[in-house]
Amino acid sequence: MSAIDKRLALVCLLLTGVTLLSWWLGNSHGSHAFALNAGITCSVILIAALKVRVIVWEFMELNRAPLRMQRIADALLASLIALLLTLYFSGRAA
Amino acid sequence: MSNGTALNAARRVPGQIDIWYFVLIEAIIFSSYFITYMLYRVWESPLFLQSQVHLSQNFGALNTVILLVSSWLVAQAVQAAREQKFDAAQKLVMMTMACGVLFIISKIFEWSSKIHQGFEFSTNRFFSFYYFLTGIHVLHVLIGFIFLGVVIYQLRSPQRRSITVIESGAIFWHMVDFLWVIIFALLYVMR
Repeated sequence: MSAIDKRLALVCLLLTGVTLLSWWLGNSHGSHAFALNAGITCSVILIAALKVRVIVWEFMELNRAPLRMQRIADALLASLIALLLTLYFSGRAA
Repeated sequence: MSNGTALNAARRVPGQIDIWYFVLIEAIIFSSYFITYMLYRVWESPLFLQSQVHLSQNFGALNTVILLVSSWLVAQAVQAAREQKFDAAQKLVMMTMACGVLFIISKIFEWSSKIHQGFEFSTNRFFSFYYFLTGIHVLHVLIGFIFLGVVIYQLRSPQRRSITVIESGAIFWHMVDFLWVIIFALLYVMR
């Protein structure tokens, strides 16, 4: 197995691991599982952002792309996550 | 030339630049869906939470793992093609497609189960979003099969092989994967 194959396998394991963490978070509160929960929401959205970043960087190989492309991708992802969290928390505050 | 400029010059765009424009447009379109979903979620929070109870977390997580594995397989296929292991690359792309088929079968099973329980597109706003987001995503999985078909067509003949086209097909498939990652978080898990 080449170094790149090992790296790809590790990335897949990491992504599967954080998916299971998200799944566990969604199931971890028993009868209160479907009540508003900012902690779960924040964690789950940040975990999703991490997964998207890793997929784009490692599988789509943006880690080898020109810096400008990397910055555009990071800016887009950060803007989307910031907007989603701002909307969520503004709704809770209202 | 400074070190930074030299480093940037050594970098290259994976695949064709056109596929990246396509990914950018798709990311913007889906982002607008996600923001609209979040707005309605904030406005109708109790309805969304009550409706979410009826989705299967296990199905959502299983779907995510299937697509993550498929992304890993197609990334390996690109690597195999670069190393001139074209038969291995073809097998890996076919396994990727098999994961795609598995994903669609599980989605059809999930949809039919929801419809059987009485939750349809028109039931309420949450289920409208659920069918719309998962439906449009499945449409992208189907389009992904066309991209992967082109990759297999490229791999089969030495005259046609183009690593750039193979990379582009893989990039589309990875996009399908990362879109699902966000759909899973928003529809199935967030509270």
